[in-house]
Amino acid sequence: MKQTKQITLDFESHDMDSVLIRWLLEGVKEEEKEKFEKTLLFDRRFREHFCEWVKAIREPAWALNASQKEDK
Amino acid sequence: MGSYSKQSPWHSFMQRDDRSLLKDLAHHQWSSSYILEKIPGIVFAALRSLHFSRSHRWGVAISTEKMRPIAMQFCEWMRTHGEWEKCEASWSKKSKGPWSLPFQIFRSYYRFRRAEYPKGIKGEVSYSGQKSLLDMEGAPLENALTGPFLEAFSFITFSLPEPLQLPYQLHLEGLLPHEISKLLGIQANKIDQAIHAAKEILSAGYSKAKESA
Repeated sequence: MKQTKQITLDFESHDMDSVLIRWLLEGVKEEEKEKFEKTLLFDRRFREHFCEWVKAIREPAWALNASQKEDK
Repeated sequence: MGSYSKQSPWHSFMQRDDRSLLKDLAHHQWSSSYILEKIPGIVFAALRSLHFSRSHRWGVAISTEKMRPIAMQFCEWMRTHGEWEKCEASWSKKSKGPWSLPFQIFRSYYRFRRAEYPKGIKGEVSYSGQKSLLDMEGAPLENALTGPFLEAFSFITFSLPEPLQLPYQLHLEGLLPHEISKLLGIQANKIDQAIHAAKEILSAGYSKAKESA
């Protein structure tokens, strides 16, 4: 119970858009790994949304569905 | 996470270059119904994945018609809140991309959901591992207590040894061992061991508390 430090990131902010896609496509950089892990550990809301997002994106049906119609 | 993403079927969708499409969306005040007609595959797919993700996983086909009201509202929110313009402004700053509209729709939908439905959308199927405990019929807690209860539940995981905490929390949220492995840079078998060890510790603690009660 010694760790009580709160680290928060606004999951929905526009600033997080580019960070999240970078994490997804390139992985987390070594220098930001600690902050990233502490945020996941201590910020329940961020963790919940981040995991929900990973699960929603990994859903193969999503990509299959999107490929059925060409959006022009 | 990086190497995992490259093997995934959605990888190409995240690397699309939709700048011209976004420019059109940002500069024309298109109606919601026109947008849904123009990019149905992107909007409905994102909503289906996020809003009804568990239903989809269980093979329940959610019809486009059922999703249309929330999709219309979402598109209207995008227009009236200048979300397309904000996305375009953000993209124009980047020199390398990515400029994927499916990704952007995902992100914008999160913002829409927080702004318009902070307590969740009716009919939405929760996808959180911890929340699912409260989704069960006859759950003992009122909705008002959900937040504090989840906080308390989350806090219990801090009684675990530090190396087990985050892997177990991510496991509770429903990430698969190989995803946790990629995310944290820890071998998948070590993740399995950490999850197992965490369960053992929490289970032993529960039994001990039960005996002393």
